[in-house]
Amino acid sequence: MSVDAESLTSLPLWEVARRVAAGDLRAEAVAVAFLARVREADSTIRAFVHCDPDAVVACARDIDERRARGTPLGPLAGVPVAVKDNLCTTDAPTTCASHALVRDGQGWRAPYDAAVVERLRAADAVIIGKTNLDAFAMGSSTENSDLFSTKNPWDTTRVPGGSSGGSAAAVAAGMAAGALGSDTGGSIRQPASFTNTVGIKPTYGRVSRFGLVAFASSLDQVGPIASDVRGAARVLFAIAGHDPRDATSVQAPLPDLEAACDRGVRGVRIGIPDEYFGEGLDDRVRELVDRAVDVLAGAGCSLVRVSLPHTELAVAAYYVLATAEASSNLARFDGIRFGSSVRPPDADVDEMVAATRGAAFGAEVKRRVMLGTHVLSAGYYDAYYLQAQRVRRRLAADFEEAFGSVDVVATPTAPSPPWKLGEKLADPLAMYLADVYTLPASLAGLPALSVPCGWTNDGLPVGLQLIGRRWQEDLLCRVASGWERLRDATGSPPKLYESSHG
Amino acid sequence: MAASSLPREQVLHLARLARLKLDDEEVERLGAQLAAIVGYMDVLAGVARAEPDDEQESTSPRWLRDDESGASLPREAALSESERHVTQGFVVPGPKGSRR
Repeated sequence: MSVDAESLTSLPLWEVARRVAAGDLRAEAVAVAFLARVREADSTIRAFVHCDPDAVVACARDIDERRARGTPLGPLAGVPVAVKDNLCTTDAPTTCASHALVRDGQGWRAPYDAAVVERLRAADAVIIGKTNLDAFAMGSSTENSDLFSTKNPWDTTRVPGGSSGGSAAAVAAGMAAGALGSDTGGSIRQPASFTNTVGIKPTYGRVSRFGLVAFASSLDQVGPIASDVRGAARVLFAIAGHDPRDATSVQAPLPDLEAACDRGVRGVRIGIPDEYFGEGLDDRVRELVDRAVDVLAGAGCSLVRVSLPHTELAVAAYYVLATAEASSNLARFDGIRFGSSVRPPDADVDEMVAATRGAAFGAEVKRRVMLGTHVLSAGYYDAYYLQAQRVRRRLAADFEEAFGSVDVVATPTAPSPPWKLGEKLADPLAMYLADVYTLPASLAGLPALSVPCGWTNDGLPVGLQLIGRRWQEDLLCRVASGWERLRDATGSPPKLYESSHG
Repeated sequence: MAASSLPREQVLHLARLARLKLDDEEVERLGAQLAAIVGYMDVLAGVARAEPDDEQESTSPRWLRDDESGASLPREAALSESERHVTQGFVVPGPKGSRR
């Protein structure tokens, strides 16, 4: 690959957009460079489920032709963006990385684009491909994909996190300038933490879920992954906004997120919750996050100890509520209207459906559907589902109380750096417990992001999570972007994937 | 509850409710795994039930949209991805006891 192409794929998203808009770069050249990176790296990393190079180049060429005609272009013109494969696209299959949506080797074709895909297209982004995930977004490592596992670009013996592991890996390895993921209990933030990228879970209701294959409808949100906060902010701004097709999408004013990136951190009150720095936090993560908040304090933030006392109940509450909703949402995968089906001879419709679902769903999906069925069933609903709803409300109240005295809450994104492939597969509960820091913000519907905060001595990335009040993604971007500048100024510039991998 | 495994009958009952056909190995494995996970979730039992903010908000009419017809998926598009369909709809086996 030429030096120019190498440089292109290491540019932040907003710089790609700036150069295309200025005419310094042709969109086609950008697309060709990123596709070359996909060819070079993806046979190892396996981030992509689907990539059609001819379609990508054709899309980019169209942007160049429109620019030449003087047609105004969108804010993401020419930017290669990967899309998690649980988002519907009309021009590429959508599989959710599950056998349930693959029939005769072909992925399901959605009859409509997801709202966020429509908005990416309207912004003239170039959708470079669909990315791998834990099947139906159920998992924290992308190892639950029915198709293949994705590797962490920084250490290919380790997981990229999940469930948006493909999207995060694509951005980390320079195969996409930005990506869309979905986050139900941490599935954008944790893979961002594991891959040295920035990931944002918006306030619940900020981004339309129309065309996102539902996992847990009261928790799911689509959000961006990018190499820096400004890039993630640009994508979020493009995809956010009310959509009448999503009854849970809210008409909330959207602040200028990129402008917020330049406001500096002085005067921000940062809450440090006791419950996120206790037992179970890896010392390597603790050291890096402690250092990060100390640097922020030195730059004019005030640190305030807060308590979020119901945190210890979050994992239990989440895995009751999310699996309950999943058991309902996945009832539609019965082989009748779409997807794969198994039709045993002489089977009646119930036998056909059970055989289809038994064959189509992987182990983790089956486990969660069964768990959700259990907690909703007669005799267990009060003890589990209702109790979990009570806990959810109290978690939200914990944050509300904390935000009476602070502006953002800072925590580690994950209790550990990325683990080895296969390490946690034998113990599902251990995998669930790894979500402990990301689940509470999901349950409370609050915006949260992960920004890289450093590297362990053994070369693994660690993320800093910032949680904000509802609708205050701008404040999160402001603090995270300020942290990026402070981090880079302390002599710890971000490693570029190319420099690590020759 | 700290059972090492959910009883087989309970696993099969849940599978029926969930419309999942499981083989014997899955029944055994899921029984153990679900017992461990549900046992962990028993921590929710310690949460006090009677607090004023526990009451669920009633559904207010102002949150519901007007009941108006709008654009919907064309029939052909809705049928196109099914394995078996005819013009009128999707083709499935009959219910239990019916003639095929």
